[in-house]
Amino acid sequence: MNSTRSTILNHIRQALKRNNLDNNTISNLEARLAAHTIHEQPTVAADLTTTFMEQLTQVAGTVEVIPRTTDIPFAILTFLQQQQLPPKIVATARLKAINWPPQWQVAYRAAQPADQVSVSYAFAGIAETGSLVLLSSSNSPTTLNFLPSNHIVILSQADLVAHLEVVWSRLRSQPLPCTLNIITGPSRTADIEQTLQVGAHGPKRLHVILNTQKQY
Amino acid sequence: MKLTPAAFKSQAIIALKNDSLQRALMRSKSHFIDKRQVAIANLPIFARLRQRAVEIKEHTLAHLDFYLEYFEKQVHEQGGQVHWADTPSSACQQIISICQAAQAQQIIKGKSMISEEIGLNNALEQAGFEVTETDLGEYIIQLAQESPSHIIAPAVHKTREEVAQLFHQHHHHYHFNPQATAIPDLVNQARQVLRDKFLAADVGITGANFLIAETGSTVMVTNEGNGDLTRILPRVHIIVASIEKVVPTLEDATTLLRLLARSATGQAMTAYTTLSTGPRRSDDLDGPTEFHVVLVDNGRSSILGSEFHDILRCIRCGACLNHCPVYGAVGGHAYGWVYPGPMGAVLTPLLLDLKTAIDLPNASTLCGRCEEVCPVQIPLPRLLRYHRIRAHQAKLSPVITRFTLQIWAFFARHVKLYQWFTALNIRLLGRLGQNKGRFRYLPFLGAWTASRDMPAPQGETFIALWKKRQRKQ
Repeated sequence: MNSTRSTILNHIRQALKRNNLDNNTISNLEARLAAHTIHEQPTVAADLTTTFMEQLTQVAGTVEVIPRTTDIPFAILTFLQQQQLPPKIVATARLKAINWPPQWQVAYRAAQPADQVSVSYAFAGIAETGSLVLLSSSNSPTTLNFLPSNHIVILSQADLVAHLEVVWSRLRSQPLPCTLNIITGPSRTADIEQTLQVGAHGPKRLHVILNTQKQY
Repeated sequence: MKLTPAAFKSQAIIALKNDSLQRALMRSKSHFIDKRQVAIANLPIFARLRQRAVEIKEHTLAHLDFYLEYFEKQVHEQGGQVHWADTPSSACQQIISICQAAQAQQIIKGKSMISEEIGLNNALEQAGFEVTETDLGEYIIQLAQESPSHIIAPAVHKTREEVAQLFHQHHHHYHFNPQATAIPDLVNQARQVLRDKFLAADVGITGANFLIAETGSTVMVTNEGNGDLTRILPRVHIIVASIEKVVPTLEDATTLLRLLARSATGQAMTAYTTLSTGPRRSDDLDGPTEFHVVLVDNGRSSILGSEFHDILRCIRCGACLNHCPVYGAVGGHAYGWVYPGPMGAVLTPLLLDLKTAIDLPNASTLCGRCEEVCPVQIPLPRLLRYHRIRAHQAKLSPVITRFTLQIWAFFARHVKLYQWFTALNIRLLGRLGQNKGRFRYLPFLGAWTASRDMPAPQGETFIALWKKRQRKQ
């Protein structure tokens, strides 16, 4: 295997008509990597919240704005009632502090096949494309984002950014998660007759609860 | 996968007579083109992004050894493994070894063109594994035992009735409504059937749209969510990627992402863009415990620095297929292998051999639409021309073509003779076609005149007219 590795690398160097890179070039390349230069970006209107909501709606996501963190269970309830779903959710452990109504069943774990509704926290929201960024962790298992048919994501307004590049720079101060999902609307396919059908393998509904409370 | 690019001509004729294929192609053509156009119109910096994308890809290719080694180091640091494969069989063998070591039985796959290129499914099945494609389009063609006909919409040639029939045939033990032909019902059937496969699988295999050298991450762009279930549910995640997929930083990948989905499906961003970095962390509740990246060369290092170098910038968006009048007329299967359309007509002769695939670069009017829409500005018509030159030099073109070209070349090098001969021809043809003004049939050009008339020349040659004008002035 190691010989295949050097065969390939040697082929590349031969094709590029050179030997191993000299130290000077290597330090230039390392400097380019470290610079993390941001390239051209589309203009995003200053009102990130409005732009985000417009973009999210365009990709068939839904959104409810709440003024206080304590409104989270009510916003979830509204969604469940609209979709005629029982109050049974699998959620990120960050919601443990919430005082759920007594008849609710709330589990804090990875998603299982029978789960219908999951609730996650977003690391960030991207106004440019109406996307949500979710990081895997013990608090935030990735199966929550894909197995249940209904995915509710809580996004704090303070975590709304204009472009994806802001997320990259924020992530550099911490170890990268195993899985980082950029989610832009519910699952979809156009594989049969180019006809858009929402809900292929992932969630059929993506509902964002946008929390505008300043500190919580 | 069987290789039939040598039969392009007969396959193209069959495709042109296939009514349901023609309907499917008609539908998809306008769909892809219109959606891309709207997406590009909404992105005023498109031209500058394209320029930047070329710069990023060229920079990476010029230092490909450095970035691959850097990527490998980062994958190791994140707890993953990197495997290098120079040939399809070496790639398949290494993937089989990983699956055997994991004592796997069932394997699920996300859509990956490189896995089609190396014939992975066949190799895995030969080795005794059960392999299930999970992208809806790939699943459909796996049931039909066909190859993909489009690099981003593999089952674009199938009608809903054909899909319904396939599902009815293969899903009978699930007791779905046998009359179901509506698209939502069909999508739901596949969702239910494949859910069980996802949950039972031991190994998940996906491709990658980009490899990030800086972080050792792989980037996967999908819409259905099947690629993500393939990553997170099985114990082992294997990523197969060709070596030119690497880019230096997350910022570089972001620029390419802004072009990719818009060029492919007209989306600003697909539903899921996923960064996979190593196996699950010690306190994670889900995710794979093993993370393998198989880097496949299969001829890329020979293309590097050659006259075909530019094709290595390709990000597999499919825009050139969608805008190609030849692809639009005959569909993907006529091309006889994994990559159809203009990018396929350039790649196939390079990855297989020119002799087998000589018809592909010839089947083009070089109209240039592909180059116009390519997000990484690959000069596809020029690359197709290089293949023609190589074929001519290697005497792969028919004797009659080379003979005719030789005669033409003789006249082209003797200008006076050329002018005299064309003037004579024009006068002769003009006289012969005087009555009708056109020719229904011309000797030796029967194939050309079968579908159109040749207008009879009027007046004199351009050179003669030009000279007259010069004299007047």
